[in-house]
Amino acid sequence: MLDFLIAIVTFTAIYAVVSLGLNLQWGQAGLVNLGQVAFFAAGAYTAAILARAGTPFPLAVLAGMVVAALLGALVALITPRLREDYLAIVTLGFAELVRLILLNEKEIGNGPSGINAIPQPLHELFSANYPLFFAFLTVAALIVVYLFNERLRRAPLGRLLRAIREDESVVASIGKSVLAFKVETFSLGAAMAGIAGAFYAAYLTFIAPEMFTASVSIYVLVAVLIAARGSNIGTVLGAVFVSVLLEGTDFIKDYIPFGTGVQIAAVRIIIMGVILMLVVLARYRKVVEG
Amino acid sequence: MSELIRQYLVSAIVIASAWAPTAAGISLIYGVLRYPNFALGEFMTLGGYLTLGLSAGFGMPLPLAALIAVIAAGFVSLAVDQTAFRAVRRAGILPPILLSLGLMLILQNVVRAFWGNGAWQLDLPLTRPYDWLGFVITPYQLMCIAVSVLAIGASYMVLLRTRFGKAVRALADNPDLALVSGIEPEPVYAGVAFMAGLLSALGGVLLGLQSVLTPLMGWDSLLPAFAVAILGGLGNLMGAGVAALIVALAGEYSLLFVQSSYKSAVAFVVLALILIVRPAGILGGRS
Repeated sequence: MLDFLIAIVTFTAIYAVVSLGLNLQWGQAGLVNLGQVAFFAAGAYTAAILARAGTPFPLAVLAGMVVAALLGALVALITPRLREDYLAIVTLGFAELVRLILLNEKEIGNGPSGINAIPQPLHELFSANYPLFFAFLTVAALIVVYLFNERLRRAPLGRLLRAIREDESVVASIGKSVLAFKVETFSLGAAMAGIAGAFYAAYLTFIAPEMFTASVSIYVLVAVLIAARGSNIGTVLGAVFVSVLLEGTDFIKDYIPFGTGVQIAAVRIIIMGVILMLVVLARYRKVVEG
Repeated sequence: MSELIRQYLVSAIVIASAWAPTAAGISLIYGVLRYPNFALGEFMTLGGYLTLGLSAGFGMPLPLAALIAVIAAGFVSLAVDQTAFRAVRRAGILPPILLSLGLMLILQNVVRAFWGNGAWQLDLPLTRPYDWLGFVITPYQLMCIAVSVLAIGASYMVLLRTRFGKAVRALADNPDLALVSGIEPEPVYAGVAFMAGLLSALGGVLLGLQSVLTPLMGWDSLLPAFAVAILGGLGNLMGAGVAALIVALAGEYSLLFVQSSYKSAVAFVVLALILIVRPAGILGGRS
């Protein structure tokens, strides 16, 4: 049971970091991103490849972050004038493109078979309690990212981002470059997903393209949506909810006499879909009435 | 080489026949209700699997099973529209997009829960392919093309000739003007939701006739179908038909340069280029 709790905490912290990234882009700056999984994957693959080549963990995380940030900047740079709905389509498609590249370009990460035996940091030192140590490490990363986001939210930049969300022409009219802020924010949010990806790879010691499907982007979206849009603490709580629903219901299958593994997994995702729809209805129906 | 090029042409027309109805559904919803519905790919999956269930499970003849399946999918789409999407009609473009993502997860995994992750095949009698001037095509592929052309044509006539169609076009063209002219929008929206579900499911049945059914068949067709809908111009069904051919040809002939698993990536690149360079679509339509 304790092992299980430790696993949940680790997954939650990883999901929370990815979600905080999306919260910065979407919750704060209003930039729709349905492809957060692409940056998560970029961080995971970069860190995994470097770690296998003998790079120390902090450097691998840093590299994962940088690659994800550059990819994020690229997406933001080619889509600055897109309407919300087009941005939704392009980001969703971009993430699928990244997944297809990982699947097909075997020299990047062995295609569908993925990368295994990813080294874990300080594994020898903590061999007995390793999962506990890694959980602490991941939570520490979450705290750092969280504090950074809180700092940012209160800073002039945070106010500016919310102003862009509400009406970008106002921001442009006071002489600020909206494009620069959009690229910066999108790239920062992607960087956070990259950090989370690096931890994810080290935690599981195995990654493959099938782990980085659009569903992950949607789960992260649910975490941000459950929170009041823009709230960092709410996003973390949203991530707790999502990861408990996804990973925490894993033990249920031992108690349910019917249903195959595939069916139980499917039911879990159906529940996620229903929750997403209910949250959207609860949130936006009010907008119409009020 | 020229044989390969000929075969790519046949494959392109055949796959376009499955994408066109789905893209028409996407195009209708996007043009009239004004949001990209990411769940319509899953209506393909639903249509394919319902046909499988009715024909293999209940022993119905395949055409009857397909007919009931696409109509049922139309009603599913109508029901979801009335219970969920209707509540956020005036809440902007984001809420319906998010709803469609939730619906996408639900539909895909309902199929997975019933039929598992493996591939299924519709039970088709074996036939001999025709060879016509070196173009090799099976009777089922010909049937797909015919059904697709008929479906697009019939939908086009519905939009062109009926009172409902006129209201659809008016709402797509200029909603404010349509509303002040006394068009009651809700019944039109309901009709559009029904048609979109039905057309997408039909695309799924056609895809199932050409290859196999998998829970990811709809997701894998989603980007090509969106590329087709946007290239064709939103709300423009004939445009969707022509664009389906263009995107499919681009996908097939890209095989000369890249691996086949990149086909939907090619569609996405086409799509992204259109959105970034010419957001109004290429074959006409509004911005």
